[in-house]
Amino acid sequence: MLYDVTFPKLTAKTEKGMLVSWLKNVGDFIEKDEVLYEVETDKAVHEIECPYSGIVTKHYQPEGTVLYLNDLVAQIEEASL
Amino acid sequence: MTQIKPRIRFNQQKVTQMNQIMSQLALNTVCSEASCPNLGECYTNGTATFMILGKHCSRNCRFCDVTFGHMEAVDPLEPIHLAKASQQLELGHVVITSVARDDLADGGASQFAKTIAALKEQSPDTKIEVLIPDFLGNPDSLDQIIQAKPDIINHNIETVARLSKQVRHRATYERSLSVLHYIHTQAPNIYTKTGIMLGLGETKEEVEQAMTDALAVGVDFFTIGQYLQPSSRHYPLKEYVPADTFKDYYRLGMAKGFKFVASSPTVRSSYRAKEALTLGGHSI
Repeated sequence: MLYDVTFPKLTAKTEKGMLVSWLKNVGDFIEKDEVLYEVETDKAVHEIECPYSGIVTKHYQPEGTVLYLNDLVAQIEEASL
Repeated sequence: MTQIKPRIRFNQQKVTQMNQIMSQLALNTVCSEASCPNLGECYTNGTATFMILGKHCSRNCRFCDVTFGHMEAVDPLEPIHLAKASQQLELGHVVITSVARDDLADGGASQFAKTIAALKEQSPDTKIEVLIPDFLGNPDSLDQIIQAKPDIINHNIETVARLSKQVRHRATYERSLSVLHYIHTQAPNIYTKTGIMLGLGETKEEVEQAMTDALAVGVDFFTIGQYLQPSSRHYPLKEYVPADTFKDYYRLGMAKGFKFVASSPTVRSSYRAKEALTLGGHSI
């Protein structure tokens, strides 16, 4: 099953952040709660954990993109049990 | 300065769970409203600092990301809701702070007192820490807090004396010290706590003087953390203070006589607050 990962609400005031690096490439396997990508905001660099286990099938955004709330970030094909 | 910004893990599922609990009970956290960088870690560990009396503040301090103005009505159910949330989250140590409410006659002190009472009724063994505004130095308001008997009363001086006027709004270094002194003298059995941010342009001598001043008014616990500028509209960040300097301040504070000092870039006044109470009087 395919799942889209979207840019989450980091805090009440955080509306955007820059995607500074991908920690998993397309084709890589990722475990749930492993870090998928990093986003820089005014205050910190947030290491965003992946909500699913599976294969990264798509990066919707390249590094350097400014992400806004609910932007599509990646697609994960969930590992079958 | 990218590489020295704090790195924070963010687990969307756990943060969403916490947000849902808060939203169902119409509660706010300072973690979220002030864009605390530790939010992901604390929420993941099932802890949060409640912020009562709304999410709009009557002061506009230049370091702070909480929204200024447009004050909200006080929610009479908030104390009970907060006690419920604390029970739901199984918090052994609850930290409650508030926005400043200079628009209310008691500055919101009675809401603090009601919240402490609700918590004590719901979970008698839970330790309660309050991080209060200065209540304009009003002794009646401070008495309400003291009589509610929290375990720790925290009031932050926020920065060194010289920078207070530029960084804070309608608050003064002297009044904050007098608030802490009043609490210490009226309730010597309640721990007092204060803290400062570094990176605003303070000198080492000024930091040491702030420690001396806090000790002189009877403060037990002292916290030191790195200031992070919320946006370009806020007070400009002057420097990221090296981690070793924070360690030096920890040693200095303990040597000067605080019961507990928390000093590192990620420290906030309520970050791992439980440790101050469990380790108070001992070295970390």
